Amino acid sequence: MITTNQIQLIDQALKKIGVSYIDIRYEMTDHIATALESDKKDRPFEHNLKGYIITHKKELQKINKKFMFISMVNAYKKLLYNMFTIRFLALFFLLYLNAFLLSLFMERESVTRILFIAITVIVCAASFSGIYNLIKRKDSNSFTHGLSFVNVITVYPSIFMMSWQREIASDNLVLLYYTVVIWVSVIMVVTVRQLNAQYKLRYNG
Amino acid sequence: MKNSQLYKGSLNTIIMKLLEENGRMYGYEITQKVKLITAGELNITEGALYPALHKLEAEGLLDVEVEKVDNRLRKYYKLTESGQKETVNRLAELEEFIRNMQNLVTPKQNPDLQF
Repeated sequence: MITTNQIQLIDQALKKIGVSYIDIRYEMTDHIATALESDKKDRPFEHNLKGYIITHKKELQKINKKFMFISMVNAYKKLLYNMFTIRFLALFFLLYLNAFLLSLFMERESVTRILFIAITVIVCAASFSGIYNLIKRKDSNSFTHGLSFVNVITVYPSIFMMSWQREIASDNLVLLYYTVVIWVSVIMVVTVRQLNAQYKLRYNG
Repeated sequence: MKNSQLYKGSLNTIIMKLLEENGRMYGYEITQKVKLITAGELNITEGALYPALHKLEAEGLLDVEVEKVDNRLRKYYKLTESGQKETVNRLAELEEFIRNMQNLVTPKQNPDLQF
């Protein structure tokens, strides 16, 4: 039977060839460990592992890419599904109503500044765990790979929108834009939490 | 996988059939079972198997159970309710395909079809 130390060696070897997400490594580690256990050749473990990794390196990297793509698609499907749930549709109308009410009492630029600050805070909250894991070199799950692009999509146009909005005549259009961005960001935060909980339940019991 | 172009289209059905028979299985077990049944003729590679399993899981046809076995985590796959129904459909489709191919490859002598 393969020891805990040998399992760690397999895990490290996978990390080394670019299989970075923990959920993918769990499955590949078990596959390699079982394959090496079944190998009846009387050779040292390290030698067998090295041989396996060299022979299957390209295939493992290909699997890694495919896994990441599949979990990215799943994460976006979940995000889309959440968008069309009653609670998030209600949230959209509530957000728009709030922005509209603010615009009745404040200048458009002040309203958009408030909305932009809201976007920044939400996006920071959404990105926090990912950035923290990256800095602390903590393991993260493969779905985070795909969802990180949503932040970029929502924040960058919003920065430029602060100056573009002066050329847009309609107040409603500007408010609608900011409402949609805040709404998508909130749904992303919730989706990330849901997926984290799902993965935690699966792998940590 | 041996003769991959011919087998590729049937991989999902092979996986689903094995899960239907065995209840739940993990990746390596599936590769070994296929090898055993086909007497080593068909070798499903990790590169073909795992993406197929993940796609079937994403489609809601497979369910996943993770268990600690020895000193590592093992991911078991099993058919969902819709997966079981889909297996029946896909097997029927595959059997029909095999029958048609059989007829095409080794046509029986039929006097009605003689020109």
